[in-house]
Amino acid sequence: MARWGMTIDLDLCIGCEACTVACKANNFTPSGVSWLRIVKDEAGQFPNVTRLPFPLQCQQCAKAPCVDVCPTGATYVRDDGIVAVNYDKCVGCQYCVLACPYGARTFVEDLAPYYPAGKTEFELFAGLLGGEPDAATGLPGRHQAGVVEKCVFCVQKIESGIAAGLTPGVDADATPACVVTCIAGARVFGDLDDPDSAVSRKASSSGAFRFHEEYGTEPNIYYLPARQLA
Amino acid sequence: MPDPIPAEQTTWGSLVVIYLFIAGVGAGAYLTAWWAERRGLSDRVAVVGRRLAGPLVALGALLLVFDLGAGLTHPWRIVWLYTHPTSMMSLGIWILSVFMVLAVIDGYASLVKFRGRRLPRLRALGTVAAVTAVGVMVYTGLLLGVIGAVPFWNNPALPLLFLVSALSTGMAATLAGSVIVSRRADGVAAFGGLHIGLVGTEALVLAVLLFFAATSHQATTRSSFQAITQGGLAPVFWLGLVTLGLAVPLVYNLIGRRPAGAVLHAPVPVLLECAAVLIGGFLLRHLIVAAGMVGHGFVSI
Amino acid sequence: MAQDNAAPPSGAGASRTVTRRRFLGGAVAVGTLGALGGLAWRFGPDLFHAAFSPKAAEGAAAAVGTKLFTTCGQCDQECVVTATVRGGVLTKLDGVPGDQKSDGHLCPKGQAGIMELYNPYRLKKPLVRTNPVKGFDVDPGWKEVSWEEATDVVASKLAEILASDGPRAIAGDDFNYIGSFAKALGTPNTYRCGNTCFYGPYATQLAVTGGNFIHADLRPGVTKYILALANTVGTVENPFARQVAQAKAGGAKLVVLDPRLSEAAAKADLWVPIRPGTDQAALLAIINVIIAEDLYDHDYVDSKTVGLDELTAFIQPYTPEWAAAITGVDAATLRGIGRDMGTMRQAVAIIRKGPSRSRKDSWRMVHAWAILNALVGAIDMPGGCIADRSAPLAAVSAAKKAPAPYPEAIDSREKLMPTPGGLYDANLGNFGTQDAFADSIVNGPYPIKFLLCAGANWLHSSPNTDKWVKLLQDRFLTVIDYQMTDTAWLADVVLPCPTYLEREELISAKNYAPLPQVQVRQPVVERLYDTRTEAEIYDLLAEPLGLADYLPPEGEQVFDTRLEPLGLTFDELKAKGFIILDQPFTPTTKFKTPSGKIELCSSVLADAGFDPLPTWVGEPVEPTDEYPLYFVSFNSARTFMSEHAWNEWLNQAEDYGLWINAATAAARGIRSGDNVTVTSPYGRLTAPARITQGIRPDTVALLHGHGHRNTGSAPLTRLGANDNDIARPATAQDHIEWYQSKEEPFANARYRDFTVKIERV
Repeated sequence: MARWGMTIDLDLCIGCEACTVACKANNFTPSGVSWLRIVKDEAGQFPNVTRLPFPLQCQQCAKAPCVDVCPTGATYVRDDGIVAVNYDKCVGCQYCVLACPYGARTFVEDLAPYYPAGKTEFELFAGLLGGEPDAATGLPGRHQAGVVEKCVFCVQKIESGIAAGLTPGVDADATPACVVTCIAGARVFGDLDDPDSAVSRKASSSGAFRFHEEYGTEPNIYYLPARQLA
Repeated sequence: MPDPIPAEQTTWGSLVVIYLFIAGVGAGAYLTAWWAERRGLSDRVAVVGRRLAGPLVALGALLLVFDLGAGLTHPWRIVWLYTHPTSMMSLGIWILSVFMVLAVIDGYASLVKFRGRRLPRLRALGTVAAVTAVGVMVYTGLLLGVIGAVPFWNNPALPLLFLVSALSTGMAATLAGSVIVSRRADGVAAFGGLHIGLVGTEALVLAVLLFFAATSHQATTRSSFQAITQGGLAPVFWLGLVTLGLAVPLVYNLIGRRPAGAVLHAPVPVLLECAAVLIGGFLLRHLIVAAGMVGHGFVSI
Repeated sequence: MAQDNAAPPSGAGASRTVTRRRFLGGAVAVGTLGALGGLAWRFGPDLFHAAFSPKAAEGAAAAVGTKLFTTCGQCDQECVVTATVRGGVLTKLDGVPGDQKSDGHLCPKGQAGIMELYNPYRLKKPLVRTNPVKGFDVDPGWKEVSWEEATDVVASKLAEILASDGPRAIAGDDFNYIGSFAKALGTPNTYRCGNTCFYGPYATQLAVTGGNFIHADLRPGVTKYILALANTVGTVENPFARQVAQAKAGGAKLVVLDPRLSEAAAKADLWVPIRPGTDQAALLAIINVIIAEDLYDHDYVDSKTVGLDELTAFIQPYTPEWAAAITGVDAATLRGIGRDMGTMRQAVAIIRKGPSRSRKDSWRMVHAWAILNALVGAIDMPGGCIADRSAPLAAVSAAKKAPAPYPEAIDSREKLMPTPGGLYDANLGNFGTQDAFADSIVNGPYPIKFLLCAGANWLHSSPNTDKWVKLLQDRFLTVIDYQMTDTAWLADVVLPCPTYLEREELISAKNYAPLPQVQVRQPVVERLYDTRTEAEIYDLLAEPLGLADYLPPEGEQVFDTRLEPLGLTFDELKAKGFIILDQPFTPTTKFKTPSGKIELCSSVLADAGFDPLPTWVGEPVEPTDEYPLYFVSFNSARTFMSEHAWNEWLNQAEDYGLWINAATAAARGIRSGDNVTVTSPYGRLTAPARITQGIRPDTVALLHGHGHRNTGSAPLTRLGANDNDIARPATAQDHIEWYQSKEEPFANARYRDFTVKIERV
């Protein structure tokens, strides 16, 4: 069984938000809900100021605090390392939102349309999705109001890709949308248990770190440092 | 290193604060009754406390359901809450549920007639209920305290603080209830010493908690401290909690123990003092939850 | 139309597709069953929904979807994309590996094409104004009409004006098709918005190099040093952003000169917060270092350029120490840049179009830029910046009836907008600026009675918004667009066109494509609404005027003809998406200048009486007591002019605030999010404050292309502000005077030559 992981090269990320929008398209997230964001905080004083774009999403922790605190078992770690959410078991207590040190989980207040004029055809399509991510079609699960969502590494693409004989991290159709579209090539995806995979080599390269290791969460996302911070 | 990353949402709101508060008051009321009965302090207080506990905790649980995102649209999912007792919330739901049932039985079974006879009170049931009441009080603190991502809460002083606060607010609610029911304040004085102890302990534990926060190596935790003592929460903290919730009851009870203080043991002053304790207890929950939110999601790179 | 901001401009289109009906059939099934189920639907088991997945509604094949190749139209870089369509709904756009533009990756704009297509505020049917009073807050009283009716209204207006005033009373502004329609009508009055962005200053490089070498060809391992100048470089365009990222990953050093810590500057090895409008001085100092220390590329300069001696003498006084006082950049930094550029082959300096280029001496800045790139051997070299390599497509007839004896010959002496002639008219500058065009409409020698605007959105692309509003009051305006722009809101007739995802085109790649590439644009869904393409609209209008034969032929046959030299049909291209021709990149050896070489000291400029070398004539504008701050505007990776103000996916990832340095804001009591007015000598705008350390304290900056003001479109389009409200206008007569006084050889827009004051509202 693979253990899916990602590396994000902070030196390459330019903060363009292509990943943010690709995620919206691929996962049909409702208005105001984004499974990933790029934090662009400034540091320093003019003219010695930096603004390092820092892409942030679910870190797919092996020891996920959100899983520990979930009172219903809606959030769980899959065998392939992906932290998944079964919306049908989620009561929306948002305990997990508090427990996540990465601010990576979003409570969906309502399925708001993007435009006040009403739902677009794209959004109507989203309303017809099945309850669960679908390995046959590569479509994500239908969104629900009142539950907590987060990035699931486009698990539906991974599963449908594998079913079609593709390799996640190598073939675009089996790889998370943010990785595929990243115009700077900052994101690499693949099997962390395969020492020869590109993601494993990146993750074990010098300077690679996991975010907030002090919480003991053991994320499956590794960051590569920016030259500026080196 | 860049500054911390601001959170994009606040998560737990006022319903949770009320829930934590009411559950604590209910459990505290039960223990007050249990103590009053054991020590023979006041039958009236014991009855009022027993009868208050169950409905209060039930009300708290109801608020929790309202606060759940899917609680109203998919109420059957609440069943799942009982399936993962490794989660503090799930465990808490169990404790709360058991206590609620026991407290209702203990408080109201005597009203029910079966074949013309009132049902007897079971002493063992009362003991078990008292133990679960402590569980409820500690749980309200542990619910927040186990969250590693909010270091301000992630502190052993927090469950202790909520325990002590639940006891004092539970006692206040019970005493107030008994005064309202009987329109008399006799017997209240017997709780004065206990009250001083509780309020004093609460102030002490709160000070310890804030000291930890102020000296934390984590900026987020320090910002929680800042928010409480100097920031947006400061007026509520200094006027509401410190003055009204802690100093007033403490002074009241210290004076009340002196012979000259007997005048304070009239219904109106007692009710005012109880109200001060209850308001202080509520504001304590509010401040702790809100200050934790100040820090939450602030993850520094 | 009601003044309801939330309501889309018109109802559902009539020509909906079969797939859509099928798709909605599924939706109706769920809705009906849901209604029957009553509460059970809302409170029922979650399993209920599962039975009505798209699989159930559409069948598994539809849900799995089909993929079609097409070409992105979210900016002018034209990446090849695949569109995934499921059950008739476009659900995903992706880049295509191997395409020189996207190579499998799409920028946020490209990803957000779905919302461009499905935006409910799109124009859906032809609209005719019933309220003659025009204004942003005035309800035009739109009446939805059929194409027959709309054509009749516009064509009879055209016929009426042709009869009364002749074709010259008709004017328009557009890039694509209007030229042939104007030719058929016989009017000389077509203008382009290009000068707003870059045409004027770029004409300088035509004089110096004989070609257009603005597009980067950065290559990892080859490009060692990138000097990005004059704003908005780095992340705005997908192909270029990818080049920068890859070159950086390949070890290239990135240095950004920008008063603002832009997205590119934030990623740079060195951010140089230069004083606005002084890039030319910095370039001169860098050239000075390269010449003085003999660091230029001797092989390249000796073989491909002339004028080094003149340049060497000219550049003497422009030392880094001289430039330091002007640019606010210390001499050591400028010297360091000069040494790096001189020693790190391949080095290249990059400029791109953008609203902040529009300054009095931008043409001199462009000249200095061309000289610098020539000195480091970067012009038309791999890893430098190159000219387009176009594919050898066959020419097709300009008119359906060929050769066409046009009913009215265009008399260019009749042109509405006066120009000084000479070099000015010989180059791209002859289009003049859009702003001067507006002035000529009002003050010209004869009346303009009919205006046609196709997608240019004048009110967001030229200064002095109020002037446009006034001049459109009593002139018949026809707008072709797909969304309710401020310009469309003031139209008499609005003709809706399809988005790029509903159109068919044959495209020869330009910009950032070192090898010739031909690619397809094809509809990925059937047209959502009752729309017509520009070409179809001109055909419709030409028919009743008896001009149909004079318009160019269209359709797949034309594409097939054009593709013949490549041995390919349009259908085959649809299946392939794109092809790259096997023509390896070979650097230019003969430049289209009088000497056949890059003329560092330009004979073209000298012959026309202009400065043959980029003399520094002083800062274009300096702060005053009343207006103490510089103003710059910029584009982001989420914007392309004003085109995507309607796209909520992009809007939710955007920041519209006015960039103000924290110290500058503190001195004025401005806090983050406060509304701030920005006042220039020419106007005022209001925007929320974005307090930052990432901008010079003497400068404020605003995102270009937002702040629509009409009340008939999506509320979100009103986010931000329109920088044109405060821009500096200039008349055609101004340009003539500047040409005659030898101030500028080309129509050099000066929109940014002003300073501002800011105040908290």
